[in-house]
Amino acid sequence: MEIDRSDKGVHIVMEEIEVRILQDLAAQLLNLTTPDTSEIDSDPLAQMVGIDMHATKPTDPVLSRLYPDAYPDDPEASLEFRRFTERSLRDASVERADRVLQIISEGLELQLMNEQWNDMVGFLNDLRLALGTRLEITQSLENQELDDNDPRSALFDLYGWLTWVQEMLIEKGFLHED
Amino acid sequence: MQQCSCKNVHVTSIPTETLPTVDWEFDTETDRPWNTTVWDDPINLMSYVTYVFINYFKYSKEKAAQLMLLVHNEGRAVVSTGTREEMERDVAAMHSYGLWATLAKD
Repeated sequence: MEIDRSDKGVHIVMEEIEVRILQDLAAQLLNLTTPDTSEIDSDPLAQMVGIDMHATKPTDPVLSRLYPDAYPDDPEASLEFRRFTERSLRDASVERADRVLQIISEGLELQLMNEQWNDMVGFLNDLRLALGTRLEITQSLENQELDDNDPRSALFDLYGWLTWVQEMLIEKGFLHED
Repeated sequence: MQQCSCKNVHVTSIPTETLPTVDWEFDTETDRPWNTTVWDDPINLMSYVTYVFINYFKYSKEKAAQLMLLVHNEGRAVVSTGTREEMERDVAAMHSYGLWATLAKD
Protein backbone atom coordinates (compact mmCIF):
# COMPACT_ATOMS: atom_id res chain seq x y z
CA MET A 1 0.00 0.00 0.00
CA GLU A 2 1.15 3.52 -0.79
CA ILE A 3 -0.19 6.41 1.23
CA ASP A 4 0.57 10.01 0.33
CA ARG A 5 -0.79 13.43 1.04
CA SER A 6 -2.58 15.01 -1.89
CA ASP A 7 -4.41 18.27 -2.38
CA LYS A 8 -7.64 16.30 -2.16
CA GLY A 9 -6.86 14.58 1.14
CA VAL A 10 -4.95 11.33 1.22
CA HIS A 11 -4.06 9.38 -1.86
CA ILE A 12 -3.90 5.59 -1.46
CA VAL A 13 -2.78 2.89 -3.85
CA MET A 14 -3.67 -0.62 -2.72
CA GLU A 15 -2.87 -4.06 -3.99
CA GLU A 16 -5.65 -6.56 -4.57
CA ILE A 17 -4.43 -8.81 -1.78
CA GLU A 18 -4.59 -5.86 0.64
CA VAL A 19 -8.19 -5.15 -0.33
CA ARG A 20 -9.05 -8.82 0.24
CA ILE A 21 -7.35 -8.76 3.65
CA LEU A 22 -9.34 -5.66 4.67
CA GLN A 23 -12.58 -7.23 3.39
CA ASP A 24 -11.87 -10.42 5.31
CA LEU A 25 -11.06 -8.53 8.52
CA ALA A 26 -14.18 -6.38 8.09
CA ALA A 27 -16.30 -9.53 7.84
CA GLN A 28 -14.77 -10.87 11.06
CA LEU A 29 -15.29 -7.56 12.81
CA LEU A 30 -18.93 -7.39 11.68
CA ASN A 31 -19.41 -10.92 12.93
CA LEU A 32 -18.27 -9.78 16.33
CA THR A 33 -19.89 -6.36 16.63
CA THR A 34 -23.23 -6.78 14.84
CA PRO A 35 -25.87 -6.74 17.60
CA ASP A 36 -27.58 -10.05 18.29
CA THR A 37 -30.99 -9.42 16.77
CA SER A 38 -32.59 -12.49 18.36
CA GLU A 39 -32.58 -10.84 21.76
CA ILE A 40 -33.31 -7.29 20.73
CA ASP A 41 -35.84 -5.40 22.71
CA SER A 42 -39.18 -5.75 20.96
CA ASP A 43 -39.99 -2.13 21.75
CA PRO A 44 -39.53 -0.41 18.36
CA LEU A 45 -38.91 2.95 19.97
CA ALA A 46 -36.13 1.49 22.13
CA GLN A 47 -34.62 -0.03 18.99
CA MET A 48 -34.83 3.25 17.17
CA VAL A 49 -32.97 5.20 19.83
CA GLY A 50 -30.44 2.46 20.39
CA ILE A 51 -31.52 1.26 23.82
CA ASP A 52 -31.10 -2.40 24.64
CA MET A 53 -32.48 -3.29 28.05
CA HIS A 54 -31.12 -6.83 27.71
CA ALA A 55 -27.50 -5.74 27.28
CA THR A 56 -25.14 -7.42 29.71
CA LYS A 57 -21.44 -7.08 30.36
CA PRO A 58 -19.67 -9.00 27.56
CA THR A 59 -17.56 -12.03 28.41
CA ASP A 60 -15.46 -11.81 25.23
CA PRO A 61 -12.34 -9.72 26.03
CA VAL A 62 -12.53 -8.00 22.62
CA LEU A 63 -16.09 -6.81 23.27
CA SER A 64 -15.13 -5.78 26.81
CA ARG A 65 -12.37 -3.69 25.29
CA LEU A 66 -14.58 -2.15 22.58
CA TYR A 67 -17.40 -1.44 25.07
CA PRO A 68 -15.75 -0.97 28.48
CA ASP A 69 -17.48 -0.28 31.78
CA ALA A 70 -18.08 3.45 32.16
CA TYR A 71 -18.08 3.52 35.97
CA PRO A 72 -14.95 1.84 37.33
CA ASP A 73 -16.37 1.17 40.80
CA ASP A 74 -20.07 0.89 40.08
CA PRO A 75 -21.19 -2.22 38.17
CA GLU A 76 -24.85 -1.22 38.41
CA ALA A 77 -24.34 2.24 36.90
CA SER A 78 -22.04 0.68 34.29
CA LEU A 79 -24.75 -1.76 33.27
CA GLU A 80 -27.32 0.99 32.96
CA PHE A 81 -24.89 3.07 30.88
CA ARG A 82 -24.27 0.01 28.69
CA ARG A 83 -28.00 -0.47 28.09
CA PHE A 84 -28.28 3.08 26.85
CA THR A 85 -25.08 3.23 24.77
CA GLU A 86 -23.70 -0.13 23.64
CA ARG A 87 -26.27 -0.77 20.96
CA SER A 88 -25.70 2.65 19.36
CA LEU A 89 -21.93 2.13 19.50
CA ARG A 90 -22.29 -1.27 17.83
CA ASP A 91 -24.61 0.13 15.16
CA ALA A 92 -22.19 2.99 14.44
CA SER A 93 -19.24 0.60 14.17
CA VAL A 94 -21.17 -1.73 11.84
CA GLU A 95 -22.31 1.14 9.62
CA ARG A 96 -18.76 2.48 9.47
CA ALA A 97 -17.36 -0.92 8.46
CA ASP A 98 -20.03 -1.13 5.74
CA ARG A 99 -19.08 2.31 4.44
CA VAL A 100 -15.39 1.35 4.36
CA LEU A 101 -16.24 -1.85 2.46
CA GLN A 102 -18.01 0.33 -0.07
CA ILE A 103 -15.05 2.73 -0.31
CA ILE A 104 -12.44 0.02 -0.88
CA SER A 105 -14.63 -1.70 -3.47
CA GLU A 106 -14.40 1.35 -5.71
CA GLY A 107 -10.91 0.68 -6.97
CA LEU A 108 -7.30 0.14 -6.00
CA GLU A 109 -6.55 3.85 -6.12
CA LEU A 110 -8.45 6.00 -3.67
CA GLN A 111 -8.72 9.62 -2.59
CA LEU A 112 -9.84 9.83 1.02
CA MET A 113 -11.29 13.10 2.23
CA ASN A 114 -12.97 14.22 5.45
CA GLU A 115 -15.67 11.67 6.36
CA GLN A 116 -14.10 8.88 4.32
CA TRP A 117 -10.77 9.50 6.01
CA ASN A 118 -12.50 9.50 9.45
CA ASP A 119 -14.26 6.26 8.58
CA MET A 120 -11.08 4.54 7.44
CA VAL A 121 -9.06 5.63 10.49
CA GLY A 122 -11.87 4.60 12.88
CA PHE A 123 -12.39 1.29 11.11
CA LEU A 124 -8.67 0.51 11.32
CA ASN A 125 -8.80 1.36 15.02
CA ASP A 126 -11.62 -1.14 15.57
CA LEU A 127 -9.59 -3.80 13.73
CA ARG A 128 -6.46 -3.06 15.74
CA LEU A 129 -8.35 -3.11 19.05
CA ALA A 130 -9.96 -6.44 18.16
CA LEU A 131 -6.79 -8.08 16.86
CA GLY A 132 -4.52 -6.51 19.49
CA THR A 133 -6.79 -7.70 22.31
CA ARG A 134 -6.87 -11.22 20.84
CA LEU A 135 -3.07 -11.20 20.62
CA GLU A 136 -2.91 -9.87 24.20
CA ILE A 137 -0.67 -7.00 23.13
CA THR A 138 0.53 -5.59 26.41
CA GLN A 139 3.51 -3.46 25.42
CA SER A 140 4.70 -1.79 22.30
CA LEU A 141 5.00 -4.21 19.43
CA GLU A 142 8.78 -3.81 19.24
CA ASN A 143 9.10 -5.67 22.52
CA GLN A 144 7.06 -8.58 21.29
CA GLU A 145 9.13 -9.88 18.39
CA LEU A 146 8.06 -13.47 17.87
CA ASP A 147 9.87 -16.47 16.53
CA ASP A 148 8.89 -17.17 12.91
CA ASN A 149 7.64 -20.59 13.98
CA ASP A 150 5.25 -19.10 16.50
CA PRO A 151 1.70 -19.70 15.18
CA ARG A 152 0.79 -16.14 16.14
CA SER A 153 3.54 -14.55 14.10
CA ALA A 154 1.37 -14.09 10.97
CA LEU A 155 -1.25 -12.29 13.06
CA PHE A 156 1.43 -10.10 14.62
CA ASP A 157 2.59 -9.19 11.12
CA LEU A 158 -0.98 -8.35 10.20
CA TYR A 159 -1.37 -6.22 13.33
CA GLY A 160 1.89 -4.45 12.48
CA TRP A 161 0.65 -3.74 8.95
CA LEU A 162 -2.67 -2.31 10.22
CA THR A 163 -0.71 -0.14 12.65
CA TRP A 164 1.47 1.16 9.83
CA VAL A 165 -1.54 1.95 7.62
CA GLN A 166 -3.35 3.79 10.42
CA GLU A 167 -0.23 5.71 11.43
CA MET A 168 0.41 6.78 7.83
CA LEU A 169 -3.20 7.87 7.29
CA ILE A 170 -3.02 10.06 10.39
CA GLU A 171 0.40 11.45 9.56
CA LYS A 172 -0.49 12.29 5.95
CA GLY A 173 -4.08 13.29 6.52
CA PHE A 174 -4.29 14.97 9.88
CA LEU A 175 -1.16 15.80 11.82
CA HIS A 176 0.82 17.09 8.86
CA GLU A 177 2.31 20.57 9.08
CA ASP A 178 1.04 22.90 6.39
CA MET B 1 -24.82 47.33 27.48
CA GLN B 2 -24.23 48.63 30.99
CA GLN B 3 -21.37 47.04 32.79
CA CYS B 4 -21.59 45.86 36.36
CA SER B 5 -19.61 48.16 38.58
CA CYS B 6 -18.53 46.78 41.91
CA LYS B 7 -16.31 49.63 43.01
CA ASN B 8 -18.86 50.97 45.47
CA VAL B 9 -19.15 47.72 47.38
CA HIS B 10 -16.71 47.42 50.22
CA VAL B 11 -16.66 43.78 51.15
CA THR B 12 -14.30 44.35 54.02
CA SER B 13 -16.74 46.74 55.65
CA ILE B 14 -19.40 44.06 56.15
CA PRO B 15 -19.18 42.78 59.71
CA THR B 16 -18.78 39.01 59.57
CA GLU B 17 -21.18 38.41 62.47
CA THR B 18 -24.06 39.74 60.37
CA LEU B 19 -23.46 37.34 57.47
CA PRO B 20 -26.21 34.76 57.12
CA THR B 21 -25.23 31.20 57.89
CA VAL B 22 -25.24 29.08 54.78
CA ASP B 23 -25.45 25.33 54.91
CA TRP B 24 -22.73 24.67 52.35
CA GLU B 25 -23.01 20.94 52.88
CA PHE B 26 -26.43 20.92 51.27
CA ASP B 27 -25.32 21.09 47.67
CA THR B 28 -21.85 19.62 47.65
CA GLU B 29 -22.95 16.17 46.51
CA THR B 30 -24.79 17.44 43.44
CA ASP B 31 -22.45 20.33 42.68
CA ARG B 32 -19.22 18.38 42.72
CA PRO B 33 -18.22 18.10 39.08
CA TRP B 34 -17.76 14.84 37.25
CA ASN B 35 -14.66 13.96 35.28
CA THR B 36 -14.04 11.97 32.15
CA THR B 37 -10.80 10.01 32.45
CA VAL B 38 -9.01 8.41 29.51
CA TRP B 39 -6.77 5.48 30.41
CA ASP B 40 -3.58 4.37 28.71
CA ASP B 41 -3.76 1.24 26.63
CA PRO B 42 -1.12 -0.53 24.56
CA ILE B 43 -3.04 -0.50 21.28
CA ASN B 44 -4.26 3.03 20.54
CA LEU B 45 -1.59 5.05 18.76
CA MET B 46 -0.36 8.28 20.32
CA SER B 47 -1.16 10.13 17.09
CA TYR B 48 -4.67 8.63 17.06
CA VAL B 49 -5.38 9.67 20.66
CA THR B 50 -4.21 13.20 19.83
CA TYR B 51 -6.49 13.24 16.77
CA VAL B 52 -9.48 12.15 18.90
CA PHE B 53 -8.90 14.93 21.45
CA ILE B 54 -8.67 17.52 18.67
CA ASN B 55 -11.58 16.16 16.66
CA TYR B 56 -14.08 15.58 19.47
CA PHE B 57 -13.18 18.13 22.14
CA LYS B 58 -11.91 20.70 19.62
CA TYR B 59 -8.81 21.14 21.77
CA SER B 60 -5.78 22.87 20.27
CA LYS B 61 -3.06 20.64 18.86
CA GLU B 62 -0.86 21.62 21.82
CA LYS B 63 -3.44 20.82 24.49
CA ALA B 64 -4.41 17.56 22.79
CA ALA B 65 -0.77 16.45 22.58
CA GLN B 66 -0.23 17.41 26.22
CA LEU B 67 -3.22 15.34 27.35
CA MET B 68 -2.15 12.44 25.18
CA LEU B 69 1.33 12.48 26.79
CA LEU B 70 -0.26 12.60 30.24
CA VAL B 71 -2.31 9.50 29.36
CA HIS B 72 0.79 7.80 27.98
CA ASN B 73 3.17 8.69 30.83
CA GLU B 74 0.89 8.72 33.87
CA GLY B 75 -1.45 5.97 32.73
CA ARG B 76 -4.47 8.23 32.64
CA ALA B 77 -5.65 11.82 32.30
CA VAL B 78 -8.79 13.79 33.04
CA VAL B 79 -9.86 15.07 29.64
CA SER B 80 -13.11 16.86 30.48
CA THR B 81 -15.15 18.05 33.46
CA GLY B 82 -18.83 18.85 33.83
CA THR B 83 -22.19 17.46 34.86
CA ARG B 84 -22.81 13.74 35.03
CA GLU B 85 -24.91 13.88 31.84
CA GLU B 86 -22.19 15.76 29.96
CA MET B 87 -19.55 13.29 31.11
CA GLU B 88 -21.69 10.31 30.12
CA ARG B 89 -21.91 11.86 26.66
CA ASP B 90 -18.12 12.35 26.53
CA VAL B 91 -17.41 8.81 27.75
CA ALA B 92 -19.78 7.32 25.16
CA ALA B 93 -18.03 9.43 22.50
CA MET B 94 -14.60 8.24 23.66
CA HIS B 95 -15.86 4.64 23.47
CA SER B 96 -17.10 5.29 19.94
CA TYR B 97 -13.51 6.22 19.04
CA GLY B 98 -12.20 3.12 20.80
CA LEU B 99 -10.57 4.98 23.68
CA TRP B 100 -10.81 3.43 27.13
CA ALA B 101 -12.69 6.07 29.15
CA THR B 102 -14.57 6.18 32.45
CA LEU B 103 -16.39 8.82 34.47
CA ALA B 104 -16.29 9.57 38.18
CA LYS B 105 -16.97 12.34 40.61
CA ASP B 106 -14.08 14.70 41.20
